[in-house]
Amino acid sequence: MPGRELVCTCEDVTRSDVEKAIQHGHTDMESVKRYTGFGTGICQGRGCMSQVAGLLHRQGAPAERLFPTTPRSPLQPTELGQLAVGGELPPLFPGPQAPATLPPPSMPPAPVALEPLPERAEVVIIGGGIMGLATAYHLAKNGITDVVVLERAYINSGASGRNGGGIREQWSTEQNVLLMNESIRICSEFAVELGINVWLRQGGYLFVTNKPEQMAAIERNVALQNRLGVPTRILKPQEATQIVPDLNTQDLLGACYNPDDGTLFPWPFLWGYANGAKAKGAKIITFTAVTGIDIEAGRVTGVVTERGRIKCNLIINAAAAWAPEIGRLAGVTFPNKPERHEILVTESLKPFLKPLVSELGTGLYFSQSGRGEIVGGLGDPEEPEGVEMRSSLRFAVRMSRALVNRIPRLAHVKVLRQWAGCYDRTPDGNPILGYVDEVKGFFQVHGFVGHGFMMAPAVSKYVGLYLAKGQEHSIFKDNRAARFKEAGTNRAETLIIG
Amino acid sequence: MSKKRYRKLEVPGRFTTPPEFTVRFDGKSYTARAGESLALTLLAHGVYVVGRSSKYHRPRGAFCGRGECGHCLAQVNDLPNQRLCRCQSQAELRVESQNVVGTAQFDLLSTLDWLFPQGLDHHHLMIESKTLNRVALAMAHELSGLGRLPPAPTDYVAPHPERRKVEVAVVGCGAAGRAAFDVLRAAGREVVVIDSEPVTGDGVLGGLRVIGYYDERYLVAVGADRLLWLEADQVVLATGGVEQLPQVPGNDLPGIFSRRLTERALAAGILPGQRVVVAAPKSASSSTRNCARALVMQLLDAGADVPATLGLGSNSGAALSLEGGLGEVEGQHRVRAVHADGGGDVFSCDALIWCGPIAPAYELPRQMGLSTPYQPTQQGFVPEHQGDGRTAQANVFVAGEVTGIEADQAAAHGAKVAQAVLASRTAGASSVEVRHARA
Repeated sequence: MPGRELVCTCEDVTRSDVEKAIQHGHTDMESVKRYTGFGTGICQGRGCMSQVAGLLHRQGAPAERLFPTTPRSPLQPTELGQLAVGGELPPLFPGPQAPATLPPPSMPPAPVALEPLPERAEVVIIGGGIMGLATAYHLAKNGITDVVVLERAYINSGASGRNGGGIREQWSTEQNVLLMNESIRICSEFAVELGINVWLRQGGYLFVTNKPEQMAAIERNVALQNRLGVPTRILKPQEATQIVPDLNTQDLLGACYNPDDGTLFPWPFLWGYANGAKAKGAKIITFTAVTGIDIEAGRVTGVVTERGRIKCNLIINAAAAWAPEIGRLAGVTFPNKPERHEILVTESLKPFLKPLVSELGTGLYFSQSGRGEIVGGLGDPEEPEGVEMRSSLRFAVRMSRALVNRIPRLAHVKVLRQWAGCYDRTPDGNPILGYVDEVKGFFQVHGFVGHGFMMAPAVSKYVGLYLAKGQEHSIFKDNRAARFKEAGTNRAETLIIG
Repeated sequence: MSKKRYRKLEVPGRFTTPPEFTVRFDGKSYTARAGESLALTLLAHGVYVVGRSSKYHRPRGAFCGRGECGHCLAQVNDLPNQRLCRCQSQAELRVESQNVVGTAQFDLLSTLDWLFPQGLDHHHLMIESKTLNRVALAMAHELSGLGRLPPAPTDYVAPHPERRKVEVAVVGCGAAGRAAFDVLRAAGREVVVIDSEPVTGDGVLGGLRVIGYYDERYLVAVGADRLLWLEADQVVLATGGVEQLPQVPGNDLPGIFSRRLTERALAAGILPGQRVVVAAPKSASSSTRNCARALVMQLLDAGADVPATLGLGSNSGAALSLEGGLGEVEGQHRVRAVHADGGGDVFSCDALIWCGPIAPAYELPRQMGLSTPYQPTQQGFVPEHQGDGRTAQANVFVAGEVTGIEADQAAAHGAKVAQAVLASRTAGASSVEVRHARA
């Protein structure tokens, strides 16, 4: 059968799969990789990277714009037990001496001629991550179809394409519990509504802790969650091994488990929302960075990009880690700080781990993906602020130690790659939503502290209803940017993971 | 030990003593000799299929023979996803095929492959109804994964890295790396060369694979019982290249072997097949063709039947030497026949030796900050460099096949690059300074 020859034999990607991806508009190497899965198996693209480039080249991509996808360490599969070295940790990289805001990471060049920018639009959304794309979809669904989304690189290039795919109702504030209840419902219907699988798997979230102060927090949070109808249970360490038999519980004091939480595969979420928005008339423009915001008489009048200007009266800032930078372009200061969080993925194994496991107090989290890999991360208390997406040896060592400690059977499991993305951290762990006082027509949807991905389905729906139908949800009142300047702000969210 | 387990693909007359021990594969014993990889041991017995692929359960068996591709994965003594070409045969090793429902040869789920001749579009699988979707995805998850979670090590002790600083590190001890190393050493430089093969010698670090350039500082290398964090003032990257599969239907069938695997098999006294077709792409260089033609001679000498060569020029020594290239590879579980390009000629055979393009191993050069754009003429990503191996990074050099040159020029190039290294070093140069490609 023509086209049936395999390009990537690790993940069984055929030539026609690659050609279909190109037809779907995935015309740069990183996007084709994400859509087809080529190069994500044991050989990490050694046998297929140049084949895919050859196919793109034959379809008209100029050679000088074709680069391989970022080669991730380890370059050969390496056992967690070998990376979990003893002794002193490697120092922070790039370290605290790095400037607070580094120049933005280099991204691959745009692969093909880009479509011209429209002269004007009713709404311009800055940021083609999940929040921006989902907001475009909900605006269009509610009647505002003249929407342009501006993305500086490719779809999935930021935190939306770099996260662990966790989705949970276990939160510490009523608003977040209810929001996430709604999000999980939307996720379970996503494939039918938006025509693409997101591989939602409700294997639960198992929080464990060895810190006495966290046990009190668990009891408080579970009481709140139960009151709101979430079936979270508090478990003794021994009971946790009924859910994860290989869990090391020696040092644990307790755990809590909600079977309705789960994981999903982040990338198709973005394609689904992007295609849904496009089908209703919105424009998604990639590889176009915003360089300025036009303001006249205290009101936004347009967005300046490296390729020209789009006039508009409403700008939505959904730029996450870059949101404070976008704010500065409009003369508005936000307190969010970008902060690198690193993550790794192992070889794929037959299913053995049902829930996402997370340690309260250390920030370790890991789960088994729909494809069988262990995916997980671990925050670093020493991490300085700044947009930084390089990987570090220190993380490889810390993460491997933490995984081998929590599940000793993972010692012989091999890491395939590690990467990083940025949290968009606010002082109280809650997002920044709604209009700002300083400039009219400048709407904010950011500051989700690494949890924007799971909150986007519900939040974007409420943004759509608010801006298109005038139905204002309480999240917009409670999460105004102005709260940081006022006394007695809303309750801080404490269940921040990673 | 079963006495019936003869080795049917040994080169006739090569061995006068019987094999030394047995290994087990899927419950059967196979005789083996020390110094063979598990992939070669199984090949000697005509075992071509060692497992099944992740999605369509297509048959898989050794291709590259050098630990680059993912074709010969199996579970070895309960450790999943081991490359059999990288595991030495040892007495009583227990090898099991992976992702198999039935046997490696006859896998029930290989029906997926012909039930979906257009491919299985997992993005749009069963998206019409919420209930069906839920069931389909749960099933897909149950079928996912290669290999099983291994048992916990009984005696696990966290390893301690060996930290070293040297003036020059050469990565790769092929022809180019070796030549560069020799020149640098003769010139009195404090130099080491690292290679994944078990090479030995003073300053030669064999059996170590470089797994990355971390923190713009450390070359991290991992071996069976060794872990190295190496810092170097200057680095010569002689990472070589990776043999690529032919891009024709049937290109992943067991029984398609790379040139280098074939050379290794013959050196170990093992034939890759009884009837062997040797092919090269029409674009192959004269150097590649010469290697391929030499291989034909070796195969014939070793007693194989070579019914045809494709793309190797005329009078290759085979029964038929066709100028045209490879059209298609045919077979259910393994290679049964090879079609010449353009239709017409079909040759029944049990192995195809593919002398295909070699894509530069650009990964480490890229991590060290070199630009690696696609080069259509090389069919690969080539680090930007000057003729003497210098790059945009003052302390990083590239040598040999990674620069896109032919294998037969690699040694001379390595020596030339070493001279550039010697010439470039300024007194008091500190550790490697590289601006990394971010993200």
